[in-house]
Amino acid sequence: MKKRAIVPPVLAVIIIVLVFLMGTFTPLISILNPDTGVIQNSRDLMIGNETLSLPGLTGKVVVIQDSYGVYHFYASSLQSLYYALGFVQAKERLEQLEVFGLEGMGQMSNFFGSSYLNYDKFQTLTGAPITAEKDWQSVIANASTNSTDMLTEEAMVSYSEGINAYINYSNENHVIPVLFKLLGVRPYYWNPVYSFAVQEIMAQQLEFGSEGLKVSIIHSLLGNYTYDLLPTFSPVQNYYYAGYSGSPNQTVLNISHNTYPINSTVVSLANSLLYQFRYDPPTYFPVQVQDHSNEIAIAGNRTTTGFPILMGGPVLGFSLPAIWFQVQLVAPGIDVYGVVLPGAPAVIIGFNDNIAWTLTDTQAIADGTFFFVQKIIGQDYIWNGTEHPLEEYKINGFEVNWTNLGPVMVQNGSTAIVMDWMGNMVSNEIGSLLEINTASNWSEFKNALSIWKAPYQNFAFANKTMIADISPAYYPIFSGKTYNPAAIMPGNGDEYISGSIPYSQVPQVVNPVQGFIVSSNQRQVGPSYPYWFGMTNSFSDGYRAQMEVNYLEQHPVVSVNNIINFQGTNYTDYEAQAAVPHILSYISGDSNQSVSTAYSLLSQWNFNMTEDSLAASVWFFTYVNLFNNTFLPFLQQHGWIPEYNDTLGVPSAMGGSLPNTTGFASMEDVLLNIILNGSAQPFSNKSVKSLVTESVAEAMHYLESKYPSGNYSWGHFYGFLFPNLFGISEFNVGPIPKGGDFNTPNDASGVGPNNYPTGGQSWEMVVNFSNISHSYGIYPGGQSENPASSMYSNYVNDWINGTYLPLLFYPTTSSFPANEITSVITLNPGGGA
Amino acid sequence: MKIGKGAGFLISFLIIAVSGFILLLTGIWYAVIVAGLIGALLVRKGYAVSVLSSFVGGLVSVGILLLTLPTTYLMPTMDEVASISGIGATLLLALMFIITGLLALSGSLIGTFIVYAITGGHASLP
Repeated sequence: MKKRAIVPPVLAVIIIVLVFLMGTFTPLISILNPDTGVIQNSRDLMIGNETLSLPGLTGKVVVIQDSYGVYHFYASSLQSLYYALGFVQAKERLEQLEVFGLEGMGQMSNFFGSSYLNYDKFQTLTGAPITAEKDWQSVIANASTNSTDMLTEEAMVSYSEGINAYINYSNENHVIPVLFKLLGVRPYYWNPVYSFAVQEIMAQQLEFGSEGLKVSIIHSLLGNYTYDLLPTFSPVQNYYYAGYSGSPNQTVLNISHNTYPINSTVVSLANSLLYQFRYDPPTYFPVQVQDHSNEIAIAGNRTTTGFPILMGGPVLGFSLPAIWFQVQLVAPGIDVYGVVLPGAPAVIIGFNDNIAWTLTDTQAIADGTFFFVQKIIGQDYIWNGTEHPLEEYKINGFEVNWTNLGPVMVQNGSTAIVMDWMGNMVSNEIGSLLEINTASNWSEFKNALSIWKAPYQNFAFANKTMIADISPAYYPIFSGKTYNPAAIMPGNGDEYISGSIPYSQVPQVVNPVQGFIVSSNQRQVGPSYPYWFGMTNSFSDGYRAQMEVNYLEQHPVVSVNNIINFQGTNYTDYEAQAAVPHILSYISGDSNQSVSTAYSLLSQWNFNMTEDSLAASVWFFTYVNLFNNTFLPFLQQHGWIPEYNDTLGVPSAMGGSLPNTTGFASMEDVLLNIILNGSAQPFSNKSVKSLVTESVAEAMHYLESKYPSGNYSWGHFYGFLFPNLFGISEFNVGPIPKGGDFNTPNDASGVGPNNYPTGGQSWEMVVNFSNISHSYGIYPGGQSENPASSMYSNYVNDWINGTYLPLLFYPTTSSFPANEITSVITLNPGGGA
Repeated sequence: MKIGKGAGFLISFLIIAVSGFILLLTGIWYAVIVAGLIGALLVRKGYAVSVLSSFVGGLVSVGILLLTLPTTYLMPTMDEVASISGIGATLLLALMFIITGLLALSGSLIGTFIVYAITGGHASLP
């Protein structure tokens, strides 16, 4: 054989080796494989009828996708209902489900590499993965005797089986989502512990915080000025949905004004822990946002239909896919409509035939996170002078030590800061929600919430004849020396949690005389409430709630459309309404041309933060400057700025709307009080007139230099950005200009450019009890997580425009109008898919 | 029956395109090498015919597979992958075709070499 004859086979081997190497060192071969790679995912985008036989499914389920993309599940049993929910939710949101599970369990590095190890370590340290496991074990242990736990076990197991059935289906059919293929990982199988981990994430999103650490450091810097800057009760709020608006309870006030003094070692530890909270946040996806949730219940005697209306708009960080998945769940004993979370098989916010409910975050004890300084010697902690062994956990490759109060978060020698977070109590909030889904009246609803411990939430309720609200949770009662629980407390046994506020005493109201309830993040109870209920430092100044109260007082009778338009497109800023008349009086007659222009604009303004308003920009930046001029020199003088910029944050107005700043609700309240009452003491020796004039001039200088043409309308600064959940900026939507600001009903904090809000009303719903089938809602996102899908972000523009979509609510498949159906998926019990 | 090179190319191409498509369905991309091998062993018309028919046959086998997919959604899906990977969607698709063609081609090179080895240098067996 001639030598050159060997060339072709050698060439063949070289080609094969090159392809092999390409497959070894890059994901190209696996993602481009024509039969198993990414092109197969195009099949997943098809929308049409299909029938599948699924192993483990116990009964037939018909799933109708309506013309808006919402899934309606009609099942013959509860097991098959939750199985189907798991299957379809995984079909649309498997990436999101899996990432939420990993996030909650502190296992992000399993998928995303070692850059997430710090996150995993901190998440493990918080106790969330440990508590998730304990929650599920508790459900299993009590399922035979406790009906809620039994229901939870049944739902969780079936739901997990449904998700896993889809994982098997997607593996067999090569349609596992693109992200998995690109990362070269396989989806892990779901189990109920992950669902409880999602419960933990939500508790972290909504109430987990580091305010206690901040208050202690601030107190070490400011001493008793702390209570001027962060008062226990708001000097301006006057509407409390659950009452108690009398004189301040002196015992409560004394507790709040008795902050435990900490030494430099503890200050240093608190500061390092704050640093961790900031740079390894336990709430990774989506980003945490400040208060902006709305919750209004209106009695029938104040509506055009004669029946109650319930309006909800809970704020969460925006993401694409959105956090919510919109469904109707129907099976014997249940017919509920609303939104579910990835990983939790219960409608969180929604309605059934008889009742409707929505949620907002509480204001007063917003965090439910308490810190103690505790002494640790070796492997023992000291409590009441006695040594007790630390409880050690080894999880996710990390070691975590717990004392009787909770996990040891940070330690230096024998001094440690320990965290007692209410999210670490063994509880079953998912079970509570499952019970609510089938509740038919207030009594059943309230009873279902009696086991709710965390996160701290307001639950607005309505049915055909009544409205109500309740804020159920484990609100601790502190005994012993009772230092301020809003700061670090002594962990030696001097102060301890001796129980919780009785359920009959937690904030609540039924059919109030004024005919409406507003519970939009403001403090629920007034100063005369007999229990310690937090300070004003976190997390809402209550202006949005006050604006909503004003609206309802000015409109004795409202329609469903009025309420939709109110939440969707009303841009009235309550704070501006209260402050601008005073600002005008301060700057009236000023000779400065720019100040004079500002006067002219503000005096003709209707306090609406519309896109085209110049006055809105003047107001916003005037207020921001006034905030800075009043507080920042004072904070600088006391060593807050710049030493603690990274951890306490640089305070700024409007909830920290400016880049790299932090909102302090109490300072907003204090500032408005300064404007109204004309004294800036003890923060500034300048007159308020001088502070205001200076701030207006600075605002005008900024606006006129940025937009010399004079077109500095608000739309240049405000809009919304909807970021891709996985950080792929190509799949972001926005920023899209929109009216509103930090204080308006449809709002968020953040001003552009490069700092647009990425959070807001995550599920806007208006339930109409004159005909519950004529209810409306919208969330900013779409049902699919796939950016290539037409249902990835199709609701965003409707959300921006304040257009609510009909919430189609039909009890059976046969009653569903054919023209409202996009596709039907029939799931049958059977063998392979 | 004796066949010419043109007919040989056509037959080899058809064999490789069809068997390539079937082998792609196994999910093992490298199996396309076998398609090239089969084509070269069954139609022994030398390197020129086998190389050309196997490469084109490989490309067509992917084309057939694409016909089984909803083509409307193909480019949106590839655009999604392109956005994440930073490689253009068209380039990704082109790579998929070219790699399949090259794998089939490598099979045909080996097959033709085997034929030569057995026949002592004659493309067609006596």
